[in-house]
Amino acid sequence: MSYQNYLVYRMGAGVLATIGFYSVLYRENKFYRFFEHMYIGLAVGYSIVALWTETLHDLWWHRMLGAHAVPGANGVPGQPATNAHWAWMLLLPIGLLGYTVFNKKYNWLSRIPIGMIIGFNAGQQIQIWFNQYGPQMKDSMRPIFPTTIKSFFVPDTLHMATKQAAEVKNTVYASQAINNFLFVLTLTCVLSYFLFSFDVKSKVLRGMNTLGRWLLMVGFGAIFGSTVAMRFTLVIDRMYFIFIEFLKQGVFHR
Amino acid sequence: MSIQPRQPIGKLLMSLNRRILYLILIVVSTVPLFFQIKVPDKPDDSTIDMYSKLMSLPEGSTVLLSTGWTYSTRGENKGQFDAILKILMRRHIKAALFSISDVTAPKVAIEEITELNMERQKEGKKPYQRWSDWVSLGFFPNGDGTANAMSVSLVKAFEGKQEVAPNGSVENVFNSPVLKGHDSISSIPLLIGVESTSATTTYIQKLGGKVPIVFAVTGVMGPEALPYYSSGQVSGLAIGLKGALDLETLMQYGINNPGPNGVVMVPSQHHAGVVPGFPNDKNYGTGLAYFPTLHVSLALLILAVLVGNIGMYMQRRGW
Repeated sequence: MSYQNYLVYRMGAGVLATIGFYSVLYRENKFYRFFEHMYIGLAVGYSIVALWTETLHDLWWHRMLGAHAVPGANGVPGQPATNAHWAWMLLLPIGLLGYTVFNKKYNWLSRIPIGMIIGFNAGQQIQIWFNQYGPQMKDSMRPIFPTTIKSFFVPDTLHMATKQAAEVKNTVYASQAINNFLFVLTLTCVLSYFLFSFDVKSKVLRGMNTLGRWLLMVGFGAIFGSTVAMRFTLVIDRMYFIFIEFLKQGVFHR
Repeated sequence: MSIQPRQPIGKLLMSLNRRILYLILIVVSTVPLFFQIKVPDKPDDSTIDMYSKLMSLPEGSTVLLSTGWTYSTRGENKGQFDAILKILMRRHIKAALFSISDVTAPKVAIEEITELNMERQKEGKKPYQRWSDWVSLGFFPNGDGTANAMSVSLVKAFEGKQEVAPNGSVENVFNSPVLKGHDSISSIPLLIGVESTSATTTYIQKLGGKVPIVFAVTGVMGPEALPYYSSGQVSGLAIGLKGALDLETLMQYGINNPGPNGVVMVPSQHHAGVVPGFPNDKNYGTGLAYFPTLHVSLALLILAVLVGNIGMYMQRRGW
């Protein structure tokens, strides 16, 4: 069997599975259940093998046992012997303690590895938090007043000399200032919506609070729209796979 | 024979069988795929920045390519991944492939490289060779720990990872031309993440400021990743199917780059200077193939929302 034929047969299996999964749209059926169970079985089997080949073997077993020196050959440099680190062995019982969560009597032991993981992560939180939000906080400080009234919009810099283009970049035009103002207003209103610690009595604050809720809804709507577009793309991709890749380019083009 | 009273239109619209809607959706998502419909595309600034970053990498350098997508998000991520790989292949940039998101992701990425290599061989080009051009570091289940280790030392993070060298021996990945001499993250010019999960946040938290980062993410992840672009935490961002098409368009025309007739097809005020494209190569892929169909599907959605609302209004009024 040629490689091309093999690819078509392999795609055929994929097409069958796709139709099997989509058949649930008509109604619950055994064809769908068969492929669902097959998928779960494959995923679990693959994950177990990959757990060893991709993770435990390279990152734990190999480090625990060390390696002999490998002489270089055919332009590929050799590698020196590495020491065995038997301390890695201790990770096995600690890791296995996690599974005691399934036993009523000994499930308290599972807290040991969980505690270690939480401890490692908690120690890094300050750095993590600042790395994630620090630059965003800095970016929130935007100028809301224009620095020039020569032009409302940002001039076209495509055909400008470098010096002039740099000058345009360092100037705040009215259109940019409006954008920045909308950004700062949204940020402030949305933040004020989350003031739950005290009773909001000020009319201004209550107005901002309401506006914040509306702006959040607009944001969620945009996110939902993006999500829907993505789901459609997944359907389109499956149809492309069945009709173009399998049938047009595979079966009828051999 | 009794005469059935005529059902109100509102009730009829509200009782439309969902299977008919599914059938219409499948037809609408399939038929346009057979036609070459042209939809104009103006690349987003974030994708322009991503493309210019990829094009500014020194030839022969090594990038870290984090792949966090599988067939479940192939519709969007495949187009992005193919476009990025084509740029890396054409510019002779080496890649170290790995994943902290999904155990099957490296396998999917390797299959994609094989497919692109077959395309290259058909065009008479040198394939992108494993070991000398790219290596696979595999899957790392503890994403936080791996990213943290990467920030300290790449050797420590990827210790024990091996690849088959051309002479058939199993070698340490740091002996390969791809990772040789790259002990620290600071020696890497770019981390590229093609992601469908929040691995993006992990990279920002652990590697932000230590290495330039660009992301290609799904439409769902887009809103979460956009603030990182806006604040300069990532140097470029391609979102969803539009991001894939943008990359393909940029590969075709470049940025501020006059074509043979002197016309600049992708003018950008956002990016100063000219960045060339690859006009003589096959640049378009699933981005262009799916984009018009997505428009037709979205039109169906808008129609369905309108019909649903009109139906509900009419039903309430008893029409």
